Amino acid sequence: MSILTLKNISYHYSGSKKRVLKNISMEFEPGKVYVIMGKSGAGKSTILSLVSGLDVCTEGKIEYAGTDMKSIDRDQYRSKNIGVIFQGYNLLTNATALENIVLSMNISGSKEKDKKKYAYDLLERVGIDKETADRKVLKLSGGEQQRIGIARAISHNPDIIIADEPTGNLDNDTEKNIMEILCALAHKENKCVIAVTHSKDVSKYADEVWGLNSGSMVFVK
Amino acid sequence: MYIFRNAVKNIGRNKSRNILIAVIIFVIILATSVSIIINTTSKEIIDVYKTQFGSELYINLDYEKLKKDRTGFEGITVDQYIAFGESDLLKSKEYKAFVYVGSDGWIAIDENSGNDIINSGNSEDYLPLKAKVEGSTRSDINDDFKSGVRKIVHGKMYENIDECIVSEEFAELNNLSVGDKIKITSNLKKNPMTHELTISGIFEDNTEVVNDHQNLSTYENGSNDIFASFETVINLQLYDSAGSLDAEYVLKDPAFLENYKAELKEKGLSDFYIVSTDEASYNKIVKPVQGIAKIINVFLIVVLILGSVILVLLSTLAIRERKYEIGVLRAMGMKKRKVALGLLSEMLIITGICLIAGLGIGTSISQPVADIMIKNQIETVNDSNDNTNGISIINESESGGAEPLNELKISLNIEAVSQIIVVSLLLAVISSLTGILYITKFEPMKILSERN
Ligand SMILES: Nc1ncnc2c1ncn2[C@@H]1O[C@H](COP(=O)(O)OP(=O)(O)OP(=O)(O)O)[C@@H](O)[C@H]1O
Ligand SMILES: [Mg+2]
Repeated sequence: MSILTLKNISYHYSGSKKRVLKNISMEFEPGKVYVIMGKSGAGKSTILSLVSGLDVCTEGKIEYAGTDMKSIDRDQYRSKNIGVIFQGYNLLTNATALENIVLSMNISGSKEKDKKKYAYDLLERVGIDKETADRKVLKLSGGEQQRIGIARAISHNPDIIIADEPTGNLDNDTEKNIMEILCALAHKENKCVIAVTHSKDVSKYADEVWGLNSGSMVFVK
Repeated sequence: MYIFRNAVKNIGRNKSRNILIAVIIFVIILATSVSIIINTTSKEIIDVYKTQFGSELYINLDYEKLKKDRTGFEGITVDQYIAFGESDLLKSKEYKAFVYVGSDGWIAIDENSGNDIINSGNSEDYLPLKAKVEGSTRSDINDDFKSGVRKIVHGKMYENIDECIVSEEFAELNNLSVGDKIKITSNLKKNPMTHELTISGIFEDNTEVVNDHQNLSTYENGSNDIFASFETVINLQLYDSAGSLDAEYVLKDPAFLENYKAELKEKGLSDFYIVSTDEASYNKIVKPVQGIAKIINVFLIVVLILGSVILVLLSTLAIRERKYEIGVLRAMGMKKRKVALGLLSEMLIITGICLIAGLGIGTSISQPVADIMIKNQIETVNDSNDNTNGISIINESESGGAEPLNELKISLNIEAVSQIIVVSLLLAVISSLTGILYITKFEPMKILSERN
C-alpha cells in the first residue's frame, strides 16, 4: 500500500513557461528509503516541494493516503504527517537549536510531556551535544545546522521524511551516521524516507534509486 | 500558549529592532498619555463650571424689540415670577423684591447734596424718593452680608413681618436705635401709602463706594438701604404700585435651557423677554481651559498620525527581516492565523511595557506641563481681553468677581486610562499590520524561495 502517489504530475513555476517536471507518475511506500538523483537544476528540490505540500502541481495530482493533496489541510500535513530537511536548512537562525526543535513539536501539537528533554535526546542522536543545542543557530556550522534540520524533521514523528541533500555538508562519518538513522526510521519504524542527493555513497543506503532527467523520472535500481 | 511563549522569546531574539520600535511606541504613548490626561481633566473642569455658571439663568427685557414696537407688552407679575420658580428643571431660585421709598420723619444720607431733586419731578404732586427697601428670599440677604462686608452690629436680623434693618450711618443720622420705628411712603403726595417698619437690627456697612457721591441719588447709596423680609416687601401697598422684583433661577443642568424656555412660554412669559445663562462669567473662567484642550487635541492628532506613519514605515522595513522567519514557520506547518497571532502578541507585549512606562511617566509630567500651559493661556486670554475691550475692570465686575482658572489639578481617571489603552492597542495593531498582511498574502514556498 503506497502512502504517497504521484499521478501524471507536471509543474512549471508561475511566470516561467518551462515545465520543470513532466508527467511524472510514482508511488512511495512506508518502510522504504527512496533516493532521487539528478543533475543540478533537474527539478529535484521542486518535486520535493510538491510532495511536502509547500506547493501544488500544475497538472495531475498527488495523493497522501489516498486523498488528493489539493483537498487536504496542507498546513496540518506539513506540521504532522511530513518532516522536511531543506537544502537550505530553513531554521530560525535567531533561536537556539533546541528552541527550533521544541517549536516544531509545539506546532505539530505533540503530546510529548518533556519536550525539552525529548529535543535534547534527539539532537544527541544526530551528534549535537547539549552545549551546542543551546547556542543560536546563527553561530553554528553548516554541518551542525544540517543535523539540526534532520532532528527537526523527525521531532514530531511524521509518516514521511523528505530530505533535500541531507548529507551535503557532512563528513563521511557523520554522513554514514545520518543515513543509518534515516534507514532505521524506514526499516524499524516503517517511515517512508525520500532523499535527494548527488552522492553515489548515499544511494547505497536506498531501497529504490530514481533518476530525474530533464523533468522525467527514471527507475535506476 | 506556545505562541505567546515564543513571542516573548522572539522579543529578546531581535533586541535592536524591538528596542527601536519600543522607543517610538513609548514616545507616542507618553505624548498621548499627557494629552489625554490633560484633556480629560480640563473636560471635567469645564463640566463643573458649566453646571456652576452656565446654568444661572437670566430673564432680561429685549430692549431692541421693545424699541421697535411695544404693543402687547406686559411685564412679569410677582405671581408669574413665583410660578416660573415652580419647576423641576431648577436647582434653586431666589427672589429679591425692592421698592424706592420716600420719607416721613427721617432724612437720607447725602440728602443735602441736592441730588434727590432729579427724582422729585413736579414737587407739587410728588415726594422725593430717598431710599430703597429690599427683601430677599435668601437667608443671608445678599453677597455683602454673606462675605461680611455688611454685618449686623446692634440688635438682630429681621424675623417678623414689618421688621427691618438699617445701616449704622443711617441710624446715627436719624438718631435711631433698635426697636424704633420708621415711616416709609410712596412718591405721591396725594396717596403716600405710609407704612411703618420696626428696626430689629443695625448693620455696619463697609461696602466700597464705586462712584463719588455727586452723581448718586440718595437711594443709590447703599448706606440708605433698608432690608426687610421678602414677605414684608411684597405685602407693602407701595410695592404693588411701584415695586420691582429680581429673580435668580439656577437650572439643574445647563442643557435644560431650551426645555425651561418652553416651560416659561407656557406659563405666559411674553416674547419681549430674553432668557439666557451667564455666559460671560462662564467664558472667562473656562476659556483658558478650553484653549488648552484645543491645543492638546491638535497635538494629539499630530502625534498619532506621525507616530502611526513612522510605525508603519518601520514595520515595513522590519518585514524584510521577518519574511524569512515567517516563511520558516509557515513551512513548518504553522497556520497563518497563528503566525499572525505571534506577531501581534510580540507587539502587544512591547506595547504593554511601553504603556506602563508611558502612563506612569505621563501622569507625573502632566501636572507641570498643564501648569505651564494654563499660565500661557491665561496670559493670552487676558491679552485679548485687553485688546478688544480696553476696560478690563468692567469685565471683572460683569463676571461677578469670578476668578479665571489659574490651576489645573491633574487627575487620572478611568476614562483617561481606557482611552490610553485603546490608543496603545491601536499602535500594537498598526505596527504588526504589515507583517500580518504579508502573512495572509504569501505562500511559504514563495517566501522561502525569495530568500534563497
Ligand atoms: N522560484 C522559481 N522560479 C522559477 N524557476 C525556478 C524557481 N526555483 C527553481 N527554478 C528553476 O527550476 C529548475 C529546477 O530547480 P530545482 O531547484 O528543483 O533544481 P535542483 O534539482 O534541486 O538543483 P540543485 O541540485 O542545484 O539543488 C531550475 O532550472 C531552476 O532554475
Ligand atoms: Mg535543489
